[in-house]
Amino acid sequence: MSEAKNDELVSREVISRIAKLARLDLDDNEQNTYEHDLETILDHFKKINVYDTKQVEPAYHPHDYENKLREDDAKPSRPPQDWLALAKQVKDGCYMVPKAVE
Amino acid sequence: MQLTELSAWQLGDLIRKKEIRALDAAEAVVAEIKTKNEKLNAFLSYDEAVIRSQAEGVQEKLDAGQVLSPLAGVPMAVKDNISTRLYPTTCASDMLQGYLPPYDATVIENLQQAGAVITGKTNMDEFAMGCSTETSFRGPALNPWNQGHTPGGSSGGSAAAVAAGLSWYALGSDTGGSIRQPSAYCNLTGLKPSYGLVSRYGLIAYASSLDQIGPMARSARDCAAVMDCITSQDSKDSTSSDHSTAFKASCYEATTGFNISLKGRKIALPEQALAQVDPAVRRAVSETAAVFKDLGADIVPFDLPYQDASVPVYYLIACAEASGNLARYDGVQYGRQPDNGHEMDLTAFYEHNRSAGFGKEVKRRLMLGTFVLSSGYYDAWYLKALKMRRMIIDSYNEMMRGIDAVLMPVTPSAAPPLYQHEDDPLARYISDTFTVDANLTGRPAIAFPCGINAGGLPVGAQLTGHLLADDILLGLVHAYQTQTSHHEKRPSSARKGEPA
Repeated sequence: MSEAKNDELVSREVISRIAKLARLDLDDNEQNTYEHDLETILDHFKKINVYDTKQVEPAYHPHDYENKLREDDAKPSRPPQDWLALAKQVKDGCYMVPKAVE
Repeated sequence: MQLTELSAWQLGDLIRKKEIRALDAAEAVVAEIKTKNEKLNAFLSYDEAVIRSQAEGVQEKLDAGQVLSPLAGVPMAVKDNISTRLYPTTCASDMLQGYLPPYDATVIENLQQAGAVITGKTNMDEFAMGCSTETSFRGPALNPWNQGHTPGGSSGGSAAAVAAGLSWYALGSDTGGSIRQPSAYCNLTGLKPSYGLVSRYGLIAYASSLDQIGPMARSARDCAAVMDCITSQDSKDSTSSDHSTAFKASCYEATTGFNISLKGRKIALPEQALAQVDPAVRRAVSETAAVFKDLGADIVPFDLPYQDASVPVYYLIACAEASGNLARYDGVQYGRQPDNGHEMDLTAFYEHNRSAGFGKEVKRRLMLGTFVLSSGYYDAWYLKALKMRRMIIDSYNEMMRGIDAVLMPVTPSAAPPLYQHEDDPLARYISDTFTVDANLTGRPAIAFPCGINAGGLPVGAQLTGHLLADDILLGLVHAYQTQTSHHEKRPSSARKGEPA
């Protein structure tokens, strides 16, 4: 595992790449702000590296319990029209999105 | 008799005994909301006709002899991230303006079966990301104790509403302190329940392994009555605990039949926490420990484990989970969408909708969360935080053996002035230092009033307990509240009929 080195982390290029991954269109001002903020925040957060966690299992949940799944039986669900009514553009019972395939 | 000065269970008692009607309570609260909400900005939505019609419906059931709950007919408010068919549910975000859910959260169904009258939806930080309601798309709520100060957050509208007498109790949600911190800032009692005790179905997710819905009210007894209504095992929430039924049996009893003598109870006091807070908070929490001691409890020393790591671990995990949970907001199925969206390519369409719909703090947390989950950084930040979370959980399990609860401050100070740390996100995050452990460990924690500082602002204390032993915390605070009157103090702005 590589240790976090803040000065290598939050370059403008990284911010630009992360914004793309998060599907956010950030202007120059926003990119500057978040570059500064993430640098400051991560510089403070890197203090957790003083603790040795090599032998520790990650905790994804606050306590370990089995995922409870219900029986795989068909049950009534809400009518699709309830959900479609919330969308701005609907056609023939489907959501309209911009063309994705040429 | 001023109805708005009663506690929730006292009002419920009057309605049940038919000394007043549910509509009387509804009219009293409508009058208060109309007088005060414009200034306080506690409610994002409310509807007089909807309030009255719910009250009439509850009264009909009571008149027909149906037994509902001790809180039947009592008006209450709901944080705007809990789904309701009666009111829009917007998370105080431009992204969800006008969104009217086609279903109710499980807690709402439970409350309606119990005869609750829902007054409206309360202001909050956008998507529960904040500690002041300053990130709300609709502007901040104000603290009824001093309107130049924040009511706290993210459940700040719920806190302001109850403190100002605009509702008898409210639901909040707590991901890193969002019930407890505003409760402390507004002189309320607020419980972050054990993870799994209250269904999260219909709570709009921020960080799913940390979020819990809970009550904010004027006393532990009111909180217990609310918990009795909202707790249930729910097949729609795979993390719902099967302990819920047993809990319901013991919860209400905790504050009606709890032995006021605390002999044999052990309460831990971490001195290192007291060293980090304002003198007024230190004094109030120390005096709280003295009251517990007088009630018979043993006060024992305690070291908060990995305290310097709590805030980093919490924010790394919460933001990572948020970046996944908020990926669903793309403007296709609901929420914000541009008129010319279909002229864009698909990626630009998503980016446009998300960038225009989310506010500054939400974007900041999405950037941080996406960063720590991205290739090359996952192990060093996200996985590291998850491993530290395990160490924090294990340490609490070890150190709390034989101890009933840990007593500490909720926050380092009373409510700060509005916009004090507007451009300093790290300073805001660090102020969560005493509240995030309960979420990381899933443990219950309760905030309760313990004094007023020299500036006239409330100060809160906090007890953290054992998993699924929320009833013990309610009982301890109830015992404290039988000996003290801090929780009975109201801001002068809460006087009936006076503008806020």
